[in-house]
Amino acid sequence: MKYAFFPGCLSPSRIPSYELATRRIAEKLGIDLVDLEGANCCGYYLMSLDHLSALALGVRNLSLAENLGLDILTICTGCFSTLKETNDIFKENKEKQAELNKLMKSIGREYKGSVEIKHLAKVLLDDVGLEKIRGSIVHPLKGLKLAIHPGCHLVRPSDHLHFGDPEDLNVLRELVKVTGAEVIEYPDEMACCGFVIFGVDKDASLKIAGDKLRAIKSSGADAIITFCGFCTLMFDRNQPIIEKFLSEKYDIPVLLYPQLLGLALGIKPEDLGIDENRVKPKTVFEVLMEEE
Amino acid sequence: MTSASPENEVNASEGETISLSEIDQTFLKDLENLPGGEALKLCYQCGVCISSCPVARYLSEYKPAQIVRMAVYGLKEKLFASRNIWLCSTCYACLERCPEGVRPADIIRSIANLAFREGIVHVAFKEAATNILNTGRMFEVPEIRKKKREKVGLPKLPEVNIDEVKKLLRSTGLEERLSNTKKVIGTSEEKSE
Repeated sequence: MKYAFFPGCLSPSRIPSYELATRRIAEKLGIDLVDLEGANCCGYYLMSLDHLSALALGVRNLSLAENLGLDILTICTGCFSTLKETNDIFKENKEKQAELNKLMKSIGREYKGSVEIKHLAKVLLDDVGLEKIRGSIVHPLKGLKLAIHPGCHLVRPSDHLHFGDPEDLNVLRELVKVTGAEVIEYPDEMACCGFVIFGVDKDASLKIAGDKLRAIKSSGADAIITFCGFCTLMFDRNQPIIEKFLSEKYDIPVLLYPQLLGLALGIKPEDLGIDENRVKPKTVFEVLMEEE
Repeated sequence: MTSASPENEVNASEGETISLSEIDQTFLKDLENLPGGEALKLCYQCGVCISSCPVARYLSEYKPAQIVRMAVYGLKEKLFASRNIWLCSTCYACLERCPEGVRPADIIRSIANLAFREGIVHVAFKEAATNILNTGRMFEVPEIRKKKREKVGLPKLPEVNIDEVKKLLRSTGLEERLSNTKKVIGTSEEKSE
């Protein structure tokens, strides 16, 4: 299992633990990650300003992976959905394809359309498989109750992403259950974290995030499991801001999925960057200590 | 009829008259050639997009179905003057649930594309695009982060090929449009962690 690794820019810029935890679990599970030299922004933000520019940046990334003969593994849901959409448009719209290849030619590149884009969660489910993961667990996280927040861009728009049911996170439940933890359900699991509009209307953004944190807190979960760096920024790094703004207290830790899986695979918390978390996952550590 | 609408107040309220002079004939055609344009006219205002929208939950002036209807009516100036065309959280709940296959999230993004062609941009998007143009990334990776990578066991961060990025964004016209913005909406105070 070998992939061109596309961490996106959010993780190296703000959440290095996401990349770190991913690399550590990849080593354990035999996933080979090849750095994509020269890669650029996926194009997500430019989709709102100039669609063609966004597609051009995306196709350039895809051509780099194609040169290596590899599919892309990304940990960023924004990159995942943007690159998937770009790839679909490139393959389906011959006019756009010609326009994009003309642009690629101007920088001495070409894209043929052979690359697949996979999110880490998809690689774990389809390529590694739950059986192999189950067999690699050394610290089952028994007694831990976890709420899942999928992140919009992992599942929607479903006609581009094809990642399970856009209204139900069943496939992700399996990934969490395999660690030995229990999955707690809560209302509006598929709803947005609000991060994207932070720069346009901060108050509304914090209220949207507050709704989710409140629902998860009421569900009795010990932690939130995320699959997206943006959602993680919102729920963990911004949690004190949300608490202050809404005069509420959540104190609910957030673990990125590879951090959770890493703990169950016996990787030390510091090697998974858990010290970076703003809300310390005390209950998670207690469960780990009981195991030992 | 109200005169030029101030920011955030573009709602064509009940009983309001739309003057023919406000209708931009080419706007709808332009929009139909962009993502979401195919099914634009199929919207029958059921409002499922509004009830599914996390932003509409807290901002009563933000209604995806209304933006779609205003677009069909060709109310370009009103839309371009509004902050609403920059408020989509891109959660895509609207387009999953629309019974007619209309894609409000795509349509709103395409309206923003057309606004940008006329030199109108929200400051948050202008800053993101400027970062991409200058560094090849939306979020700059601070030098201190690059140095810390080795300490925590991460390999060196691959370098962006900024020359190729600039060349592409010059060819598409993005660089020029960005330097020719005429109207910037919003203030840049709101920064996340």
